Amino acid sequence: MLAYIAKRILQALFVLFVLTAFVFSLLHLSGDPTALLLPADATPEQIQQMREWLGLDQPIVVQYIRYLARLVHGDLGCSYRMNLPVLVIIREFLPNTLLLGVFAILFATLLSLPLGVIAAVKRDSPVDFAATLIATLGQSMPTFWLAILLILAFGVKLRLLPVSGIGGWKHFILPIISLGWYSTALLTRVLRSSMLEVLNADYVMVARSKGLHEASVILKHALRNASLPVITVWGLQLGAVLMGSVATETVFAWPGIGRLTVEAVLGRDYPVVLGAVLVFGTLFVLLNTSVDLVYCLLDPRISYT
Amino acid sequence: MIYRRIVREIWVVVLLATLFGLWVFGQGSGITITVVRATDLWTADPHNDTQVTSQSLFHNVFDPLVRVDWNNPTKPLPALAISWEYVSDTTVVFHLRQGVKWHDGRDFTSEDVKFTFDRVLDKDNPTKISVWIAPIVKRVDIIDRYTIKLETYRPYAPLFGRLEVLKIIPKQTFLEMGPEAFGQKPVGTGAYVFDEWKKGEYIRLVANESWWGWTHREKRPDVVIRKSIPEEFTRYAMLETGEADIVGMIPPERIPTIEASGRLRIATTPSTRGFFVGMNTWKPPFDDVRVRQAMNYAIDKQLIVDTILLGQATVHPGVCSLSDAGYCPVCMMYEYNPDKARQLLAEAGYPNGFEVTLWSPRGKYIKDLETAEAIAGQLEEIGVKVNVYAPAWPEYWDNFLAGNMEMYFLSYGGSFPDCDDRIGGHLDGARRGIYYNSPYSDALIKLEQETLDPEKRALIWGALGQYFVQQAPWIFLWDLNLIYGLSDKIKAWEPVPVEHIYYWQIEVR
Amino acid sequence: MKTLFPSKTKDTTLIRMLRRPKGFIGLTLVLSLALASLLAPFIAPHDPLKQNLRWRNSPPGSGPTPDGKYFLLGTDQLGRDMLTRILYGVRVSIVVALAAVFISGIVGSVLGIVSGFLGGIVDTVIMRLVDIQLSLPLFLIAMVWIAFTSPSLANIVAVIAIWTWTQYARVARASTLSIRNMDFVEAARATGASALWILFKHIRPNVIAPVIVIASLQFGRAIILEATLSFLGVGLQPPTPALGVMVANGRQYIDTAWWQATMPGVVIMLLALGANFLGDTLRDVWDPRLH
Repeated sequence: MLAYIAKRILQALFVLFVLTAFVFSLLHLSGDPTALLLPADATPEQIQQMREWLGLDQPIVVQYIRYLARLVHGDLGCSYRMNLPVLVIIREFLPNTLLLGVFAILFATLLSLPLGVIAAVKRDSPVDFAATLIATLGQSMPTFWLAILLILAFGVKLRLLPVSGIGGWKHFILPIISLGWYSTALLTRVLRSSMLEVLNADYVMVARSKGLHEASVILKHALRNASLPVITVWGLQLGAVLMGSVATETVFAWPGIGRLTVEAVLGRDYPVVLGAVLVFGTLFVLLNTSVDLVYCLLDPRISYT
Repeated sequence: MIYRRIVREIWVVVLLATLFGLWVFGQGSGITITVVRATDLWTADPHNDTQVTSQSLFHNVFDPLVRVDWNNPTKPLPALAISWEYVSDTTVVFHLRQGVKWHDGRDFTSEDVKFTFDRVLDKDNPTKISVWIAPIVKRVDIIDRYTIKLETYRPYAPLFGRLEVLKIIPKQTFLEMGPEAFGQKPVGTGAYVFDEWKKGEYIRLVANESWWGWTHREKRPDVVIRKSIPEEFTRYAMLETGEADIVGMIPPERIPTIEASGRLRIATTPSTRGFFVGMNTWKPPFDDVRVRQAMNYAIDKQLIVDTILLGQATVHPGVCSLSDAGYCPVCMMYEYNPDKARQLLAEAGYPNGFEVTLWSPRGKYIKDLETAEAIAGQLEEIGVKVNVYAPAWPEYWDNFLAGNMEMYFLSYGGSFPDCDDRIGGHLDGARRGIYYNSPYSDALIKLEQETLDPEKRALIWGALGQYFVQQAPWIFLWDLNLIYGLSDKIKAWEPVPVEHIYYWQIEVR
Repeated sequence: MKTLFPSKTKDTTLIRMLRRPKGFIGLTLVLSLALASLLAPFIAPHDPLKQNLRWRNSPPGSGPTPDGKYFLLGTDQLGRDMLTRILYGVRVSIVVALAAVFISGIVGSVLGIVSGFLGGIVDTVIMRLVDIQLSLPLFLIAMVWIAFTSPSLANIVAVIAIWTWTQYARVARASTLSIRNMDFVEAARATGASALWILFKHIRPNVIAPVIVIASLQFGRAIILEATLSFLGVGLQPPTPALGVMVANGRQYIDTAWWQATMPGVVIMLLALGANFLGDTLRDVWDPRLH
């Protein structure tokens, strides 16, 4: 077991290393940020002068080695635009995204559980059809589109909810719905199909024939076994939610890492982009490894290969 | 008996106290407004954030030596300098305002001015705005506590406009804090104190009671919350929900909706933000002036202004914005004449037109991509096949600077009304004339820069403007109006022709 | 030859699908939209690229123009007919999504089959690749890639394809593994049949089924991804009519000219819905125990 964990961690480190190298080369080979930082009428000489001052005229290998050297000391570099350490910037923005993500997943879980179970239990009924329809619709809409519709309905037309930024609990509602909608849909469908499979299994028939209450059969026996594949998907959804935050954060002007990264990419603020990629990568690796471990623990039939 | 009297006295006192308290509260509760812009602040260090919305913020926290008087653009408004005189063509003596205090209580003196200039002129540690100042200003020296002497490399007519861009920072405080900390919690002399910055959320500014420049202080906002919201629809929605009081970058089609809503209204102003289509004059087909002129005749500019911009722009001839020094009212305007365009193309050897790629920014300016597409559509009518290419901004800008573009749709905007600012990055061989420059226009440009007499300068600009029109290095288009949405908290406000919002000009009472 | 699934002809599958309401709806949606898009040049009332600036942002049913034409679904920001652009847009979106799904499907399943069949080092390497991909913040990388290279059709298809190949690889590998050890395959090997022949005859038919199921589910996702890329500013270039581009460009007019984003948005939903229903039904029909 320990050997397995160690192996996964080593793999993770390798992945992150490859990732940074890849993104670093991509960023630097396609242009540099100096011209974007300076006023629009800067002359080529002025741009070159600033470029040298920022150290961006060095060959890419030199720059990468410097970056790695700093990275090993925990220094993620300094944002070109904001003149602040990347670590400080990420510390300010990351919690907001995590907060939003956690709530979105909670929303998705709480909503998809009843929906998926009911849809499976009452298979092919109108309820099932409606639930599946809603779920599939949720997977058929781009997130930014949903976000704008929510703003139009609840902000502009009904004047019920605030539409921007972080603030009181009311500010969370629309972004959570927008971010969690896709996951809700996906989890509902996965839970439904998983439940369907389980409900036809032998042990369920046995439980029923023992005269157990139907609800107990469903909840205690079926659901527990149905949740296994759902958990894998659920774990993946955590990652998907983090990624989906890009669109949601941009539309709602949420002060999170998704929005930060988009602006950094469009402004060629490499240290920030690299920092965000690293943070996200680490989070993903942690997530996937934990999900795998949980899965292994839950299902003794799976071995550690 | 006495008991009752005492109780009555106490009641009276309590009543009076409550009334007094309510009165104090009513007076003391300040008015807070929320200003929403499209782009966020990079850093609060006024020398290292070149975005126009950030410069707008800096105007409120800091003061420059002089400001632009938009009612009278040729005469600078005194700010931290109250008077000045030219002692030679290249030397100006500034007399500084006395009794001004920094937000942390220290006195403002000429030491701060010299420190500011020294920082920006430091060749070994360039700031991002050094680009604007370093080529012009040679040195600044202290004459006494409230007098400085500024020397330029050569006579420079647009000097005062340029100086508006440089915000004065406090020498002692800056040295104590260091640039990184200063960039998070700056100290200035301006009308509003930089109180709090929650990254990605808001910046909170509080009125500086001891500012030197208040007119009708009681009418102005006490607290300003500044937010940046990238998505246009969300910006507008914030007006409706009451989350915003002034919103910038409103597109023209929102005007009817906003005006139809009872609480909200629109403020617009013509501006220095002009648009044009540049052509690469070094390569065929645009190396032939007839082709370039044909392009100008081929575009029905007023139609685009009327339909896409809903009238919120003004077509103008030549390279200058309408409010610029150097604007040429008598310069010829290319009228919409597609037949003449086709004729010119045939004369130049392209009777069947040609194919070209039109680069366009995307989402950076109001209606940029749509306008570019409309222009492409109109060019198709005279036989020119146009492929519009609208990548993300970094790719666009890289290729622009490298001279790779054949045709490009772009905007210029400046913070002060001088036409020299418009052409500097585009048509001046001495600075940056990537797609066009000529010895004749370069000589005229140098001349207009160094002619301090405004009347003589206007003559030179007349010749220069006319030359540019005839040479047609651009398809000349229009100046765009700035459109802001206002909530009913704003009693009165006139926007200025640049994308600056001066909070001390806003009336909330 | 015995396979995991009782042999069926395509017809039987089709009929079984049509019997289920989901399958019927899914098939109808996808086929009718695809058909409409194929016929676009013949049935579209206008030219999808022709601008009519004076008719800009006109509501559905506007007209008639001087040539007596109407804009049944309104016009977009440059006065182009919405109905025409949607018909052509379905084409572009289907092509992009299909190309992406096709590429990722083939690459993914080949890698998965190879991985399952050969085992050993090859298997480990390929599965590590899959793991690496799962650990990547793909959206970020996609944005970086396109923003810094260029938003061409090829790049966008490539990005969408890279997104999803891992699913196919895993499923293909699982199917391959389960077949590989069956008796008849051992028998075939014992008689000296070549690996390729075994692959072709036995493994391929069993892999195709789950792969197709996944492909139909990914199809909807691909279309939505195209829209999101346009929203971020790195989508297909103008004046290409593509559904995602239209939704992204029209979103700012949602309260003044709602048809510009809503109509393509609805079509995206119908396409994705149809594809999803198709995928679900295929999965139900072929084997309820198939995952």
